[in-house]
Parts: sequence; C-alpha cells; structure tokens
Amino acid sequence: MKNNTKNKMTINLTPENPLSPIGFGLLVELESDVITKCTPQLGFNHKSLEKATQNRLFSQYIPMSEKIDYLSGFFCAQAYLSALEQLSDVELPKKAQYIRVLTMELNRISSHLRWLAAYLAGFGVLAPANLAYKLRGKILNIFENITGGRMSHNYYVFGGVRSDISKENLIEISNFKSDFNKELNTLENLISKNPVIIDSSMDIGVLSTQYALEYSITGVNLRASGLNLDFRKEKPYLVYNELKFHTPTAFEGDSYSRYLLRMEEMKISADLVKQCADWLLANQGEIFNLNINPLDVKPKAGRAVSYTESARGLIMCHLVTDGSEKPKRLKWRTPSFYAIQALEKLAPGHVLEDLTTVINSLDIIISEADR
Amino acid sequence: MINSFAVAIIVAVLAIYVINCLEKFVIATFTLNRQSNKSLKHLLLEPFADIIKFFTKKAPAQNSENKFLFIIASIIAICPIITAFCLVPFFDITANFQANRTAYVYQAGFTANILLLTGLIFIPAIGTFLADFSDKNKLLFIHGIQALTQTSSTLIPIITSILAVSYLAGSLNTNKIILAQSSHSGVFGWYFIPLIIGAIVFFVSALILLNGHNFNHLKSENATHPCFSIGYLGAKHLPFKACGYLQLFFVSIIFVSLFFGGYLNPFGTYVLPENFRHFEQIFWLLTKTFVAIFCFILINTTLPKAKCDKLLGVLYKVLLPLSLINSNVAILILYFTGN
Repeated sequence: MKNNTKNKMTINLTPENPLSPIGFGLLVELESDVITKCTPQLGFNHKSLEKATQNRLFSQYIPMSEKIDYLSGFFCAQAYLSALEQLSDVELPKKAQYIRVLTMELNRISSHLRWLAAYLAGFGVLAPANLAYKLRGKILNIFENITGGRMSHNYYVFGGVRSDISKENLIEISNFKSDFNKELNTLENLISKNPVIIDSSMDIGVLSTQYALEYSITGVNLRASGLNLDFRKEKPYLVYNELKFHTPTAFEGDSYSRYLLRMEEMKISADLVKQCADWLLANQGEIFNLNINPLDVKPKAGRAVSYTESARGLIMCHLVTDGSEKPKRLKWRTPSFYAIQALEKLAPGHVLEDLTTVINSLDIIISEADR
Repeated sequence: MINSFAVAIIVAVLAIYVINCLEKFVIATFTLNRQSNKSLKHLLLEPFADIIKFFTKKAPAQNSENKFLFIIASIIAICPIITAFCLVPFFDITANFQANRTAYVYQAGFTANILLLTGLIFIPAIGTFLADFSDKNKLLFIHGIQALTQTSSTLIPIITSILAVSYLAGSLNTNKIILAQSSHSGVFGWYFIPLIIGAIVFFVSALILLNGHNFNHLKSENATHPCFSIGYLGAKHLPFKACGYLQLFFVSIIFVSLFFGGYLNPFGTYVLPENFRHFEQIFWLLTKTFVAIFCFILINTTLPKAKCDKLLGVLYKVLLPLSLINSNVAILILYFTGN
C-alpha cells in the first residue's frame, strides 16, 4: 500500500520567521491544511535567570525576579520573597500582607487585560483591543502612584513592602471597582456575543482535564477544563483566607471558555482589590517587619518552596541556601513552560489559522517559559 | 497613449493618497487609536513620511527561490490595474466624444468593458500569489494559495450580479448601464432598488475580496513591513500596497456605477450648464465612490476577520444562490415591464 505524502508539509515556525506569530519554535506537520503533529521548541528566550541568582545577594535578586514574567512582576517577587521569608522565619505584618495582595490582584487584572488585547488583535478586532489597553493604562497609573514604576516596580522588600500607600491613592483604588466593571461590561458586550469570535474560538483548542493534569497545567487553563484548582484556596497564603471570593470553573476546555474565565477572574480580582483597599483604609499597621534589616539578608541553610497563584497559573519557587549571603540554587516552576508543551495535544486536528487562536488562548509568556 | 498612461498614473497616485488618508482617519477614529489623528497636518503628511521610509529603509538581501517570478509578480500586480482608469466612465463620454476619441473607444465603444474592468481588478491577486510562490517560505505558499482561492471565489457572485444589471440595462457597457439608470425621478431610477439583493451580494463579495487575509499581523500596519510577502521589503512593497488601494477604488466605482447611478445626479436634473456638466458628473461619481470606500474601510476595520473556510462557505452557499435569485428577479422585472 503506497503512502500518499504529496499533501504533507513540514513548517518550521521559529522566531526568525517573520510571519511567525510566536516567540518560541514550533515544528508543525501539515496534511493539506490540517495540522497532524506539532512539536514545541523552547530556549529562544533563555536568559539564565536562575544561574544569575547565584552571583547576587538575596536582596539584589528581587528586581530580577520581576523580569521572569514581566506582566506578573508582583507574583514572581512574592514567590521569591515568600520562600526567603520561610527560610528566615520572618512574619509579615498584616498591613504589608494586605498591600501585597492588593498589588497582586491589580497585577492580575492588568495581565489579563494585556492578554485580552493580544487575543482580540489575533481576530482583527482592534477597537476592543485598544479599549483593553486603555483600561490597563489606568491600572499602570495606579502602580506608578504607588511604586513609582509602571511595569517594573521593585516594591516588595524582604519582610514587607517598600512604602505605604497614601490615603488618596487608597480612595482611588477603592473606587476602581465600579468604573472598571462598567468598562469591562462594555468590552464584554462587544466581544462575547460576536458570532465571528464565537465561531473562531468555540470548540477550538479543547484541553481535557486528563491531558491538563498530564501536562501539569495550572491556572485558568486547568480551571477551564473542569478542575477547580486555585492555590489561593488550596494553600492560602498571605491574607487570602480572610478574603471572600470564589473561583469560577468551566467544563468545555476550549478557547472560548478560557476567554470567559479570564473575564470573570478580572471581576473577582476587582472585588478583592476593593476588599483590600477598604481594610487598609480602616486599619493601621507597619508595612515591613521592624525586627529585620531588609538589605542584610542571610537566611539559615535549608530549602523552601513557595506557591503563588499568578495570572497564568502556579508559580513555585524552590530556594536552596547554604547559610551564605547568596543563594545556592533557585529553581522556578512557571506555568507557561507547561502550557507550551500542551500544544502537542491541542494543535493537531486544527487548521493552521486556528493555531494562533489556540496559542493566544493559553496566555503564554515566553520570558517565563525560557527564563 | 503615453500621455494617457501618464495621466492614469497621476490620477492613481492621487487616488491612493486620498484613500490612504481616509483609511488612517477611519482606523484611528473607530479603533480608538489616536496616533494618526493627532492633527490634520499629521494625517495629511504621514503618507509622505511613509514614502520616505519605503525608499530609505535598507532592505535585506533577497532570498527568493525564483528571481524571475519575484520581479514579475509586482509588475503583474500593478500594471493592469492602472490601465483600468481608461475604462472608467468619469462622465458621459458619448455627449462629447470629439474631446477624447481614445477614451470614447474604450469607454463607449467597447461593448463589454464592465467585464474587462472587473477582470483587471482581479489580476493583482495573481501577482500576489506569484509573489508568495516565489519565496522559499512554505507558510507564504500556503497563504498564497488561500488568498488566491478566496479572491477567485468572490468573482462568481460579483459577475453574476453584474450580469443581472446588464439584463435590465440591455448592455455590458458601463456608460450605457449608467445612462439606463437616468430618469427624472433621480435616486428612484437607480438599480439598487429593484436589484437590492444583487447590491447586497456585490457589497459583501467585495468586502471579502478586500478583506485582509488571516496572515495579516499587526506588524503589517507599519508602512514598511508588508503583510504577506516578506521578500518585498522597502520600496519593492509599494506596487502591492498601491494595487490594494486601487482595487478598493475600482471596486467602489463599479459598485456605484452598477447600482447607484454612477455619475448621475441624485436629484434627476443637473445644476451646471451643459458645457460644464461633465465637472458635475465627475463630482457625483467621486462623491458616491468615496462614500462606498468609507463604508468598505469602516466595515473591514471594525468587524473581526473570519476564517478562510468560513468565508468560502458564505460565498458558495449563500452569496452565489442569492446572486442567481437576483438574476431571476431581473428577468422577472424585464418580463413584467414588457422589455
């Protein structure tokens, strides 16, 4: 029996290819128009961020940790500092915990908005994409008022945060939820019922719970497949056990349900931001642990693992120290690394045009995948 | 003939400039991106800045598999569509054929000039396909095939709509089609009323023809980075960009000529005296054309881009049957009006 290979083609979608929509490599095998095999290739953005830890003091690495995932800088800084604070047996003041949660949830919203703009631009709808950027700009303005930076903050320190949030900023943040929900509803009305977007994303890139667990997927991608696993509820850290929120789940596992979940998550995060801002307005406290010197960090020898539920999924930081002022080894577990591997299962069966939709729906950041 | 070609190029450049400014204005306003709309001066001078960028940006070495196709693709894309200016009836040439006998030959004397005009609009698709085919990049090859399939599939409903109009007008000559719509009732004598289905089919097919292809990345909005053919960087991309705008221009002119009376006055009577009537006719034709161009750009900018297979499904399963129904409507009108 002859094997008909006339319609088969292999395309190498690497970042050197100007038409490649992605920052990582994909070896795609096509039969006529349909993808039969898809092999991700990582490493194009490798920056040795883990090796760089070993040459720096603990406090010097905090700004670098934010560059692991540049859209979720607060989460990475929290993951790193949480491991460090575990090893040093340092307890954060309540106020500092609330400030960290407030900034992280705002970061979650800004990351999802950035994802939304890129996702919609993939469909060619530029007006809602620019609206999402405009909304994100308001959050970046809040960050600028609090930390001085819009994307790179260097705001968290060992034992707390660098500076307090003024009352005016807290009132502005407390009022953020109502305006934000109104504008998000406008965006949703433009997008959610659009038949072209529904047609292009429903039943595209279906990820079952079984494959999601096999590939160690976490975050929205896992919750969209039917498993309600959120580490803010499973292993509560900071003050998440005191805050009231729920984690939405979907069961279809396709691109459309991942989009709907992220929209819902933004609303929940806006509510968490309001709860934190209201607490901070009503309570006083210290913003860092006064018993320690944040610049002189020398934890005891040992190892610690921290869990942080970031915008893309679970970030784990495994820190090994030997009692010196520099880390011995730091290992990051980032969600995008695993999401890219899942393309092996998600891409086959779709046409090439759907590949961009699938990749965009997974919310992949190459920087955190390659480090 | 050289003078005619030179005039055609000048008119083409003017048309491209105006459409470019209009497109930037519409995209900036309706996508909430105010970059081009900072000021009128910014909007009007930006195309010149783009031209300077095109010619001064250093292009990398060409990496095409087939150099002959690489060169000829841009010529095929731009040259035929410029000659289409000779076929467009900007005013009623039959009233004053002594003024320009050459134009009379092509516009009034040539029986099926609407079909030739439509054909010239579709030739750039072949140039684009050859441009993609000449590159070593397999992704471009797939894009070229998809683009050609999509473009050639729009031809069938468009031609069927044109034929329906020709049944009513009794001719395939553009000038005669326009004159057949002239009456004292003005707007109500135009063909968009009896052939509303054909007008919608033509409009939607034209939207699909002019729709940016699904490989259009955001980068391609930058004037110097071509959307589909990576080998054509810098000034080499200009013919493709120009033919895109000219396609939009001519499709709009055909649309208004077939269904909205072309250069006819919507009020039924002309304002200017007979010696200056052709200026008024040019004014009405260009006004209607640019309203149509605005509608095309607006819809293309605001709606999401559908997948190629969905577009082909709409073309063959919806638009083609509708265009055949439209033809039957035209025949029934002829029967009941006793023509």
